[in-house]
Amino acid sequence: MTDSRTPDGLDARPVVRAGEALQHMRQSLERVDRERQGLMKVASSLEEFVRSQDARFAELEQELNDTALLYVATYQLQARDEPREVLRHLRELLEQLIGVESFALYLGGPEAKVIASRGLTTAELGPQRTHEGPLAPAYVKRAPILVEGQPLPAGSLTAPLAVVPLLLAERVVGAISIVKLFPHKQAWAAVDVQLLNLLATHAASALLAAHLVRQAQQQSDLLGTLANLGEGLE
Amino acid sequence: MSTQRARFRCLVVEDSQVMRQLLVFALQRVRELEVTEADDGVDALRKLNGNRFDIIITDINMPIMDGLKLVKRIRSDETYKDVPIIVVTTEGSQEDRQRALTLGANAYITKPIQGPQVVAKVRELLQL
Repeated sequence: MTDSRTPDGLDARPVVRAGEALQHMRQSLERVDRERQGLMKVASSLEEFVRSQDARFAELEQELNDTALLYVATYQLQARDEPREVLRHLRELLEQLIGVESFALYLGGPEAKVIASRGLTTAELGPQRTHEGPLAPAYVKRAPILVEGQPLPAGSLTAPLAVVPLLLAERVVGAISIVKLFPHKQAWAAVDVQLLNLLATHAASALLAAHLVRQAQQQSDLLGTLANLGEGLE
Repeated sequence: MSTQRARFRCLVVEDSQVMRQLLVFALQRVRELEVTEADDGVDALRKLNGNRFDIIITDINMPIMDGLKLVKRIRSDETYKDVPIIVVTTEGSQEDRQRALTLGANAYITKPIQGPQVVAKVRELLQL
């Protein structure tokens, strides 16, 4: 049996037990600390995961918004059976969805004439040649031509911010010249480019379809009138 | 348009079909919301009469009765004096926007609108 007394003759056992308890506590503390660090790592990776999910959610929301925008634009253009209504919706799309403050819509060639506009005076809106001048590049490229920059430079009819060719099958039958955006619209958004591409491919066909529907209705009305007239003569 | 889960009713007042359709698309993503559409201020007042709406989103430039007159009329009605109103404006109409806020609108959104922005504002005002 070992002597459990200190050189001073005191009982050393409580000291030993306290030492053991301290050792045990230290081990417990170290274990808890390791667990804490492990949990902090888990929490940190969870936070990272939540952040990435939030970002992905925001991306999806934006994609959904853009898709809805393109759907609404197509639907509203194609659902009209009056050329004037198509033009009104075209104006709304440009103003409300893209933020266009002034524009001119030209049809025809080689001297295209303005058939609709906003924010421009009549004096400014003469015919434009399609093989030279500001409309020409879009007629040649058959795709929207956009001026880049943030903020965008000031536009004019001779140096527009964008020219969108209006395609019918593969032919360019007109163009939209975008001259000015709302002051708070400093640059093109990704969806603007998609919308302008959509207008390039759908606007002319929507105008033509509405024109044909109106013609067909007029013919049908005429035939109906003639038929009624014929009945009246019998 | 209605859903069984709808807890709140929203009135969208907008004369432009393009904008109205876009707003409805965006608001449909809020499950708790049922959306009713109105073409202008007069149509809105007709729909407000005898119905309960928890939030109103209105354009300012509309024929027959514009958004400013509508906000004024809504705020003078005891039933709707505390209902949140969001006005949709264009950048150029800063005066209109200020006037709408003075008349009692709670918030404004500038065109061209972004769906997520509208949804966030609605959620904020309805505390969803």
